[in-house]
Formats: sequence, C-alpha cells, structure tokens
Amino acid sequence: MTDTDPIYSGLARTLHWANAIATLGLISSGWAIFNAAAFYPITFPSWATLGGYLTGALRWHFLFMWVFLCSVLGMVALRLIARRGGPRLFPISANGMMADLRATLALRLKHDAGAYNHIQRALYVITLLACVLSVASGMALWKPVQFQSIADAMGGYEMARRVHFWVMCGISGFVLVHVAMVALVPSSLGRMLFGARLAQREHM
Amino acid sequence: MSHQTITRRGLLAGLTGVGLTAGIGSLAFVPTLRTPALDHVSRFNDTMQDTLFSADRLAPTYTDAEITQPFRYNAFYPEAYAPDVDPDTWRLRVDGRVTRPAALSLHDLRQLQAETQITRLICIEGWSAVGKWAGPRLSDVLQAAGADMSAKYVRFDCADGYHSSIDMASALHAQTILALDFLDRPLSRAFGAPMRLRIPVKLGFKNAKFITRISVTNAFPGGYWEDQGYNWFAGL
Repeated sequence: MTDTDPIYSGLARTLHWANAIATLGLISSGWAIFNAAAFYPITFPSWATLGGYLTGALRWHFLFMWVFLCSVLGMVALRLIARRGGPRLFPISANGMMADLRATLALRLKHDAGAYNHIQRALYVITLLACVLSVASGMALWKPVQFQSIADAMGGYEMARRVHFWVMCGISGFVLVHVAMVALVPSSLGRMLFGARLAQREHM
Repeated sequence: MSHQTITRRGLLAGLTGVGLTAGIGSLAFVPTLRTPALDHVSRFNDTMQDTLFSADRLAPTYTDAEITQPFRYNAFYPEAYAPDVDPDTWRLRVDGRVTRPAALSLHDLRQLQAETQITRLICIEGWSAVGKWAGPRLSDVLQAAGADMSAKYVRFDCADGYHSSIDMASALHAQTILALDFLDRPLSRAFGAPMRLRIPVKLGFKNAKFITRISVTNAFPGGYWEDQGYNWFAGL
C-alpha cells in the first residue's frame, strides 16, 4: 500500500472553493443587475439575487469579479505550469466519449476517484472555456471603451451583454450538473474539502 | 483496486477552510461590516479604472443611421419635473482652482469651437443608446478659465439639484464636451437644456444635465448617485 499525493492539492482545493463562491456571487448579483434593464422577458426572483437592488448588486459583482478572475487564472496556471490542478483533462476522444456515453446509459459508468472519464473531461474543458469567455465579455461590458477590441469581436456592446448572459446560462447549467453529480457521489465532496489521498493496493 | 484515505492534516485543513469561509462570509450579513468592506473594494476599483484609462483611446463613434430613435429619457425624476432653465439669463459658473473664474453665457459657449460626436451612452443599468451631441470641449473651457490641470477633480452642479464629479484626466479627454446640441438641435428640456456634460468615457449618470456650475477641486466631491453607492470612477 503506497500513499500518494492528495487527488486535489491544497492550492487546487482553495482555488476551487474561491471560484465556487465567486461564481455563485457573480450569478446571483448578475441576476439583480439583469433585472434593472432586462433584455429578455424574464425577471429573476429577488430571493435568488444578491445585493438587493442595482447599487448593492453592482458592488458585489465588482468584488467577486476579482475573486473569479484570480481563481480562473490560478486554475489554468496550476494545470499548465505546475500540472497539479487535478486529474487529467486530456486527451478527450470521440470514441472515449461514445464509450462513456454508452456506459452512462447502461448505468455502469466508472466514476473513479482521481481520474476523469471522457464526458467529465469534455464538460470541464467546456466550462473552463466558458469561464474565460465570461471574463472576456465581462471586460467588454465593464470597459467598452478601453477594451473596445473585445466588444468589437463580440459584435459590439449590446451583443457583449447577450454573450455575458448566455455564458452565465452555460455556467449555471454546469453548476446544476456538477452539484447533482456530487449528490450522486458524495465522497467527491470529501475529496474536494479534505484532500483525500488514493491509497493503492497492489494486486497480483 | 483503490480506496481513499483522508489524513488528519487534510481534515484539519479542510475544516479550517470551511470555518474561515463561514466566518468571513457571515460578516457579509452585518451591514456595519459589509458597507465599509464594499466601499473599500469600490475605491480599489476606482484606482484600477484610473490605471486602465487611456487619454488617447477614443470611444467608438457611429453613423447617423445608427442613432437610437426615439432616445430614452432618463433621470431620477419623471420628465415633467425637469427644470425649465431660461437660456437668456442662464450662466455657467467656472470656479474653484482656476485663475480666471468665469460666468459664461450660452453666447460665450457658442463662440468656442464645437465638437460633434455620435457616440453610445451606456447607462449603469446596462441599457445603451446612440445619440448625437455637439458643443465645446470641456478642456477648452477649463483652459480658458486658467484651471489647475493638475487638480484631481472636476465637479458639476445642476439646476435640478443633481451633482456629480469626474477625474481631471477624463475631463480633459478629447470627446468630453459641454453639449449644447442634441440631434442637430439645441438641447431640449428633457435632455438637459441649455447645457449638459457629454462624456462617452463614463457611464450615463456622469453625463450631468442642466449644469450651472463647474468647479475644479482637490477635495473629493462625490455625487448624487455616487454618495448612494454607485462606483465613483464609473469609467468605460
């Protein structure tokens, strides 16, 4: 039996939870900001919003944006530079995804601690890209003159508002699936909170 | 085959993290702690925006065809309450850290070279509208008054009781104008007659209407919305 490193390093866990808090803070305050000048015929219920009205919501939004930015940059840096960000995200193959999809439908998908299946990999990569896009569209909205090249790339200020909204929808969808999976595999919560190690038993 | 173990160190670190997060997070529910904390972040954001601001970067401009029609009325009161300023007796006071305090008439302002722009007004609520404004540059008026260009702030007081303020660098920006015309006609009452600030590098609420006084100062002037929690710099 050999002790290995924690599945998620202390820094990876810190970044994960900072990102989780920032994401929920940004979504809930963002809903209050959306309500102030809705461009779709929906109103987010006030109990689900942060900051009360526009003034407070903006103050929270512009606090959590820094936490979010730092956590996303930290997660990317940890993966690219230190390679300690968690289980591998690549390779992702179409065959692997099909195999995992069949296994899911047959209710025998392996959910191994310490390794991501191809569907998990794809979801995490897409979500990470969505995080980057949320930062980019957020920059276009916060500074549409200073960062006008980003706004232009999205089709202008008004389109950047829509992009920011759609990215919020995508990330909200990820949060729902992610939390549902944690409910199905509760030990994963322990791993992310307490940094479980894999103790490997060698079999001949 | 594998199974997981949680070390005592991991458990302690995790519980400490949960405790710290819950402790700091619960402070957000105490207004006497939350308000100064959010104020502090807002001042930090002022500094960051001041750093991001480039004096040479112009706001995007649009064509006549892109002008938003009808242009939305917006103020902290209904349109019927907009002040009716007599354009003949109206004077713009320019004072504070200036060597030549002035009381300018509309005629005086019309003598200055006008800058016309079609730019996007972006409200802090999120909506935006493209409009066309024309009038002298604020920098020319400040120059003529012998303003201390190294002062920190320019304050605006208005006939409707509104006031606001901006940083000197944004005040001197090439697109920052004292608009006298809107959509090729003199400003109407709803849109700030006889003169308003049009500053496309700031959010809409900085574009003060019905201005009666411009003061150059080093004392932080705040503003009507800024004092209620809107971020002061409000740059775009």
